[in-house]
Amino acid sequence: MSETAINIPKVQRHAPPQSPDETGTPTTNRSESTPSAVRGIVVETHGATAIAPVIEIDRLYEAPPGTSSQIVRALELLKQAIDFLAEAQKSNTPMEADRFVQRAQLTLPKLFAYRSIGDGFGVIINSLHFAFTNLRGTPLTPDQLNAVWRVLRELRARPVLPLEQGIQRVEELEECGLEVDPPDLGDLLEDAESASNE
Amino acid sequence: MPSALTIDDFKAFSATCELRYKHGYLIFDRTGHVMEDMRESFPDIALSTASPQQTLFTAEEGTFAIELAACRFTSGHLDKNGETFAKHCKTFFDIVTDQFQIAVFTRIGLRNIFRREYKTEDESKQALASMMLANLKPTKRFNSSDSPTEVLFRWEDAQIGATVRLKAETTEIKLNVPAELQESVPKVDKKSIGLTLDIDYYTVAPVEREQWDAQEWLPQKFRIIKKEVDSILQGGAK
Repeated sequence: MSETAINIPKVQRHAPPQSPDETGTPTTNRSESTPSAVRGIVVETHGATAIAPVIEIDRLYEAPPGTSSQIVRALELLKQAIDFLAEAQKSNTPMEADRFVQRAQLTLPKLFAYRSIGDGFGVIINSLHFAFTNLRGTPLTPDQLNAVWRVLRELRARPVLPLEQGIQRVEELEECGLEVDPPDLGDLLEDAESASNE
Repeated sequence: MPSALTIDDFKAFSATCELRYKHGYLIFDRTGHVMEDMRESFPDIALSTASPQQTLFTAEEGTFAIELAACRFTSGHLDKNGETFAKHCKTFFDIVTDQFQIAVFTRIGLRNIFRREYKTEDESKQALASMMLANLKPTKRFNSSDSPTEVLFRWEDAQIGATVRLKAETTEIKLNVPAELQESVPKVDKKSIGLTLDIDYYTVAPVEREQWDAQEWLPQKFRIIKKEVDSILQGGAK
C-alpha cells in the first residue's frame, strides 16, 4: 500500500537570466541588472557564430612557460616533428631529407610517453614507431613523407582524437605503403640477438 | 597604493564549467541514458529537476545540468589546482557529448567564484576602493556612492576571452522550511557581507571535440586564473 504523499516543496535555486557571454552558474543572481534584450530575440555576438574558424590549438592550451601539462609538452614535440618533416620535404637531396626524417623519428619515443592523452593519439604514435622500425633504415618515399607529415599535423590540431579516427589516420599511412604492425616476435628476438653479439 | 590582497585571501566559493553547443536535440531522447551512465561514476546521483529544456542532477560532488544548448557542472568542493573538479567534468562531459553526439562546442567557459568576508559593508566597499582598479577619482557619481561598488573587466579577442568582476555585496542565503517541518528543521537565514571575486575564462572561437580535454584544460586554466588575478589585485604588475 502506498503512503500518503507529503508535498515538501523543493528549494528553488535562483535561475538568473544568463547573459549570453557569461558562463552559467546556479549560485549567482544578476537579476539586479536592468534587462535590455528583447525577449525571444537572441543576438549572437560571440563564439556561436557559425562562420568562425575553430580555435587554434596553441591558443586553447596556451600556458605559461615551464608548464607541467602533458598536452602542452606533446604539442611542442609534435611541432618539432612536423617542422623536421617540412624541412625534409623541402630538402634538395634524399640524404639531407633522411637526416631530417631521422630527427623527427627521435621525437616518437617521447611522444609515446604522452599516449594517455587519447586512444587516437596512442594508436597513431605507436603505428608511426612501428612504421619506421619496419622500414629498417630505408628512407621514406616522398608520398610516405607527405602522409606522415599530414597525419602528424592532423594529430597536432586534434590531439584528443578518438580511437576510430586514429585508426583512420593509420589507414592513410598504410595506403602509402607503410607497415604499421609490430614486427614478428621472431624478428624482435633476431634483432635482440644481433644487438647482444655486437 | 595597490592592494595587498592575493587570490589566496579569498575563499573558493564555487567553480562551474560549461560547454555550449548548437544541436543538442538528443536531449529529448537520451537524458535518461545520461543519468544511467552517470550513476556508474556518481553512485549517489539524484534527479533534482527535470523538464524538456533542462534537467538538473545533484550528487555529493556537485550539480550537473543539461540543456538543449549547454551542459554544465558546478561544485563547491574545490581542490587547489582543480584536478578533482576537472576529473568530474571529464566524466560528465564525455557522457553528454557521446549521448548527444556533439562534435563542436560553440563556447567553453570556466567560472570561478571566490568570496572574502568583511564585518561591515563599508569595510568591503573600502577594500574594493583601495584596489584602485578603475582609474577614477573618488567622487560622488550618478548621485550615488563615491566609489564604484562593482568593477568588471573584460578581455577578449577572436579566440579567448575572460572577465573579472569584483563586487562589494551582501549575500543572503534563505531556506524556507515548510510549516509542518519547522519544529524539526531549523530555518536558515544567513547574511554574508564581503567581496565577491568572479572570474569567467572562456573560448570565443568554436572548439572541436577532438581538440578539448577537460582534464588538461581545466587545471591549466585554474593556474592561469590564479596568476592573472594575483597580478590584477597587485595593481597590474606581471
